[in-house]
Amino acid sequence: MSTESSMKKEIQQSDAATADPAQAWLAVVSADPKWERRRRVIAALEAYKFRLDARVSLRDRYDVLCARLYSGRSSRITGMPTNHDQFAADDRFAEMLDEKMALERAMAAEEAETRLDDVKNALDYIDSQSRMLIKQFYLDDKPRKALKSLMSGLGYSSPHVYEIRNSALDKLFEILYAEE
Amino acid sequence: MENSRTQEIERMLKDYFAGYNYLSGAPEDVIRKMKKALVVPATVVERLVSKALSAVAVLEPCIEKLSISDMQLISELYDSNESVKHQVEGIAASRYTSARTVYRMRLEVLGKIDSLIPATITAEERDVLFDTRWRK
Repeated sequence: MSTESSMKKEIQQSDAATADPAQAWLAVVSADPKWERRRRVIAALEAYKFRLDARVSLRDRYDVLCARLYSGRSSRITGMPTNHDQFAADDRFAEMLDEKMALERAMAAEEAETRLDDVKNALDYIDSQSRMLIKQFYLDDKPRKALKSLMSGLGYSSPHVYEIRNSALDKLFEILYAEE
Repeated sequence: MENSRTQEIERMLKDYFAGYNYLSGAPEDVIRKMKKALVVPATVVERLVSKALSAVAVLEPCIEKLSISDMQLISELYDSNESVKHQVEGIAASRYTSARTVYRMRLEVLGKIDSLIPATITAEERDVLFDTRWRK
């Protein structure tokens, strides 16, 4: 009640300063510290998504390289040289093996880093429904469709989906920053 | 039992199950480090592992004293992604009983846990429980 009345007072004060009450209301709501906390968590999630995407591109490069290495085309024995320079093919093969080893090292380092990633661990700690909502809203490729798919999948109304999402963001904030 | 105490025990149960689930996938080296000595957690991972180990250590001795059916009930209610209300309805349907009966059973189990846990646990008691559970 006290917070509600203080918000009304703030709106009246800001109404005096700005002519549009809707804008004043928006300004007061945005000024609430909980939104700042949630924005901070969202920024951390976006950075985590960036790291995940980088990891996926490394994995894709590795898969393409393995496909090229073991497809049979590079190791086919026909008795005939593949081009005029017989050693050129061997050199390319060696280069590809070197690249494969470098990628494997990079992937192992990424894996170790991910295990100690704060956001990953925080996501592992919260309940799986909250995790699913956070993934759909911030980590998947189609965040615009998240609300619709969650509403139809869970049978919840949109305010309820937003309520669970916001509480999940608050839980993540508690884990990531509350004890700083 | 007071409503605040019920909520407190429910929160502890949720922490216990969350902690247990988290420990199954947490980094082994961090778990080993946090079990080995009383260190102040410096990172988020260490803090989570410490919190999970502590939650398990505090509640496990009480849960072990419950009957199998009580354990099953609290696990169905609190180790789930759904809300307690949804779980209560599910349990009532599967046991051919009413939701009210399931709520009553839940309160009975929470009352048993309440009788097994001291109302306030001091830091020393928490450390003793931690040592008993993880540093045998």
